[in-house]
Amino acid sequence: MDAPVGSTVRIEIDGPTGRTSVSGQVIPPAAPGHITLKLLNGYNVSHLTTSVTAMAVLSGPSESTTEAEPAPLVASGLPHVRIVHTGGTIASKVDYSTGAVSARFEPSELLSSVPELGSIADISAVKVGNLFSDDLRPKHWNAIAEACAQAFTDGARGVVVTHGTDTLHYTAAALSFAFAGAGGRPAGPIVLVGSQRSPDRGSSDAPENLMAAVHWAANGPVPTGQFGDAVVVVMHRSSDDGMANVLPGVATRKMHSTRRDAFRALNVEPLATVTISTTPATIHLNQRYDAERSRAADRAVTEAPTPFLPDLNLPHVVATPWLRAEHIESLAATGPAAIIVHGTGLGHLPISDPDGDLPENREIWKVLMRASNRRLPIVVTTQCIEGPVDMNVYAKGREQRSLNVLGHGISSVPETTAIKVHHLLSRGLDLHEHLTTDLCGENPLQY
Amino acid sequence: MAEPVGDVSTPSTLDPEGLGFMCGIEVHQQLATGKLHSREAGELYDVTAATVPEVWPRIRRRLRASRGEGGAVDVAARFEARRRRSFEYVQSPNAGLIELDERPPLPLDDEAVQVTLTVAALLDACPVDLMQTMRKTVVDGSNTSGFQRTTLVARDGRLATENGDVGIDVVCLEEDSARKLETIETDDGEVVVYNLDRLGLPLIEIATAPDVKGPDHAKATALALGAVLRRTRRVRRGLGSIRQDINVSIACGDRVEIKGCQDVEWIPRIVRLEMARQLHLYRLANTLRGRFGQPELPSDRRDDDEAAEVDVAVAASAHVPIDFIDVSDALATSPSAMLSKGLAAGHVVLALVLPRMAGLLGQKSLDEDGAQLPRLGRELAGAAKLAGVKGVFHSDELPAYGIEDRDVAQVRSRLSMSEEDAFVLCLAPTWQARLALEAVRGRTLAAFHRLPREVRNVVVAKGAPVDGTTTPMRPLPGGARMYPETDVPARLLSNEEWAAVVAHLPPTQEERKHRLEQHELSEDQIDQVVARELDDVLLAHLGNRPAKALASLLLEHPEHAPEFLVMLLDLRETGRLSRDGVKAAAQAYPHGADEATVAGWAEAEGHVPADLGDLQSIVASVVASRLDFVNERGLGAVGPLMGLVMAEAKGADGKEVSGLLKDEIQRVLA
Repeated sequence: MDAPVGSTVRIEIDGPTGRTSVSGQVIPPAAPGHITLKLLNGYNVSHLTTSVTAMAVLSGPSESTTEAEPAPLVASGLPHVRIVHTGGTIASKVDYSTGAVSARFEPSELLSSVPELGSIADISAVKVGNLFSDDLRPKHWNAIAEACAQAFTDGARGVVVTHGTDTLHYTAAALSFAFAGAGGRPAGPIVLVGSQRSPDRGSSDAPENLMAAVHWAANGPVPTGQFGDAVVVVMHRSSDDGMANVLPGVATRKMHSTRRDAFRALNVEPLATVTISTTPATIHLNQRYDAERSRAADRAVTEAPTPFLPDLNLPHVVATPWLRAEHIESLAATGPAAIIVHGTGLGHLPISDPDGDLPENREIWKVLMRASNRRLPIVVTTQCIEGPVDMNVYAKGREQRSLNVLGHGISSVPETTAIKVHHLLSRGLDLHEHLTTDLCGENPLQY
Repeated sequence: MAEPVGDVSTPSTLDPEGLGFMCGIEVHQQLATGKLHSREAGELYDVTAATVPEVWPRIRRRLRASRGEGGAVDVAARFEARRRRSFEYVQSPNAGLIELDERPPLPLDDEAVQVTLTVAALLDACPVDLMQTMRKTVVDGSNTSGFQRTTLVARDGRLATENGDVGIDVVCLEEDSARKLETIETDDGEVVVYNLDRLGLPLIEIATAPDVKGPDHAKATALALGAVLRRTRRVRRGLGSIRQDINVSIACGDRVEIKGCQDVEWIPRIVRLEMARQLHLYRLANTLRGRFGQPELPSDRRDDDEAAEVDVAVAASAHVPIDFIDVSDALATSPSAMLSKGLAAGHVVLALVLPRMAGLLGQKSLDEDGAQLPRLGRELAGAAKLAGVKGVFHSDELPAYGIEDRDVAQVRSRLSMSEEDAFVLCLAPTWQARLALEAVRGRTLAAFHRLPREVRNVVVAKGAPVDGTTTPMRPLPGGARMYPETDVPARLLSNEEWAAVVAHLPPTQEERKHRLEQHELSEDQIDQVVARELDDVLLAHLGNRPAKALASLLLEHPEHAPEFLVMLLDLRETGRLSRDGVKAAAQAYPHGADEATVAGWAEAEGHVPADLGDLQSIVASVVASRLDFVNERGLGAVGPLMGLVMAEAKGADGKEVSGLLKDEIQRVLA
């Protein structure tokens, strides 16, 4: 009782829920053991294959009737913007074989679905990958950084990286250090952009985010490599359409799993806004950023971005009421380059035993001491996400510092701290010496 | 098929059968449950644009044309994008992140599914084994997501009506849309303001097969569907809770879906007017084709020759110019206030010339019931309005609207037109006037052919149809606007679940009445109890209680929980609350109270019936003390003496007192 997908059939059904017949086009089954037909009215109907008593094939598989899309308009004289495509929801579509959303989109499709881009910039596009960002690895940062560098070599004014949102801020921070961590700056704006609602729906945030990102890449100020402007994230400013935030790549985080305005600048204000409800779009620089950049020392353009060691072992552990010494020890046994500890509050771990009844805390203290002896860097960041790590306030913190726990004075979000550690180790630099030095605006002291 | 006969100016005389009438009904019924995909409360707030609480957040959005399953952008969606509409959503207290399209939906609400399955079973329909939620593209902003979620639950059923069975094509479960509060016009396009309270409310959609035989049968079918839905007792009641769409065609016309028939009484008239419109536009097409030397349109759409229609389309397109001419200067001195105000605001008047069409656009005239008769000018205005303009002026109706003969002459000369030619003017910002006239030109070209398959809206003012006529809304969508809702997993229907639904079908009204007839209730009470859906409650609480008393309590105090009323009744039956005290307690405790509280209150307030022995002696003493009066009036003394007894015997039952008085007076007189 098989008919090829795409053919039109009429089936007779006789099952426990009644007798009927139905005609439609065979599409991949919605669940195992079912036959699924698309009816003329658009609904998909599924019946158990065991209930099908007869089937007549009315016509064979039809050719796909996808309308050829007109080539995107390219206006001459506009700034050249390169789109570096990596995948994610912004470039996803419904996979009709599984019914799920998958990242399968060609860059050209992205352009034809947002034709307005053609009037903002002269667009070229390359594909680095087609991955959801949760699958990305540090080696992908290197590939994306290379693609950005190549774009500037090819004469692009700016680069827009389309990216899944889950780890978009990791990549933003990584590219920031790659282009500005060693004291340089990118030749032009590098913008990361994603979307929280898939582009197959009329309400998707993808087109506006993309327009705002391309507008910034084409017209935004040349980055200084400081204040977090080396690489920026451009996404919805609020639940409203019409305005996007320009967020510093080293001080941004996904703060909501579903909302359009999931990305927020932390410890610092957004660098700018892009209003796209007006034609043409308009950019408003944050006053502080505008003032800072006008006073900033010039940095040399980074021709070759600093690569990350692709196989660095950098495990994370979270300081919780359940934390035990074995957890840290088992990570230490994997031979890490450092261990990142997501401490509580100002950056604390449960290591104190004031009344002599917390032997588990004493064990953690011992583990930290052993790590110090073995010169294994332990870097503390804060679970509060926002605010500094400050180990001077409580005796506990000072005790941690005496155990060579690093991180004091950092005001980066945890992801940025980890990526900075990775960057410094990739450059062969000593964490004790360099961790708290501000390299490209990752250590803002605004809040 | 023979040439269709009938006078369009008297729609009531049109013969459905002779005209090849086809009709199907779709009803959309709100369920009295929570929201379908968010579990927010299914509450509708009584607010208008002017009275929306300021604290309700507002969110501004736009929608874009998106690709369907086949990858193509819907024509309607593309047009919609050019209208530059934006949307403002008012977040009512029962709208959360899901309603704001800021969070994926939850699976189908089980209660709503159960009700839908019950309706499917009542309609003898065959359920699908796997319920797959789909997204139906909607571009008017009434859904924040840009689509409506809809799930096909059952197919292939039938509905018994007085004129025979009507087939049921589909039974679906879908979410209701947001309610429009107002439309604000700006030079940058419209801003449509929506209230999100209704968005996501479950709707059962039932679509019949085109088995409806005539305008009156359409109404009967709608009523029969309503009765089936109400039988579940889980549907919302009241205006707007059920909406009918009517699909109508006659052989020389084509399928048109009419939305917004909330009041079934209007259905026959709306259907007749649509028949008249289709007949008029068929005849008009042939007049146009005659004027331009084109072959006649067949009298039955099944005879249409696609190749011939393409030739006509090419010829028509060559006759109607594609350029719009700015005639603002020719009208700069017009006394029309509308024109001078618009021009002062920087708007323009664009003109479209319709060669050799003078007299075909028509002037406003009414049928015998006061409904506007069909005419091309109205169709063109309808098309223009879709671009967001208020309307257009055309040469057949001018001079009017303050535009004078002199102005018309200047426009004619500016356009170098002959007397045979017609023109259409549009006053709006340039981008919008262009869009509107493009739509007018498109509709003019369509007038050469079979009328457009489209969705139309009943013209409504102040919540009621104006005259039963309709305006265009959008082209009839095809299946291409549906694609899978990937955020909602498909739901399996097990044989056991279906068997349970079929085994527990709700009784019919007749069965319900019959059940009540087994108890001591008046006919009127039975009717009322069933009509107000109180019979299940009544039977559940009846036990050995007096049926009449319980029924009247339930009918008189719909504001109270049945448990509270039953408690009052029990207090009364056990002599702890007087008959009048029941009513007083219901008023004193609008939110109910427990038994001890009410009993204590009855003691304190004197609502405990007097002891029968005490009561008798009070009556005896009152009668004895007014013996002369009693002798004089006889039984006529009962009334005046009542007050005296009641004053002494606080909380006594009036009926009881009057009985005792009557007995005592009779005894004394004897």
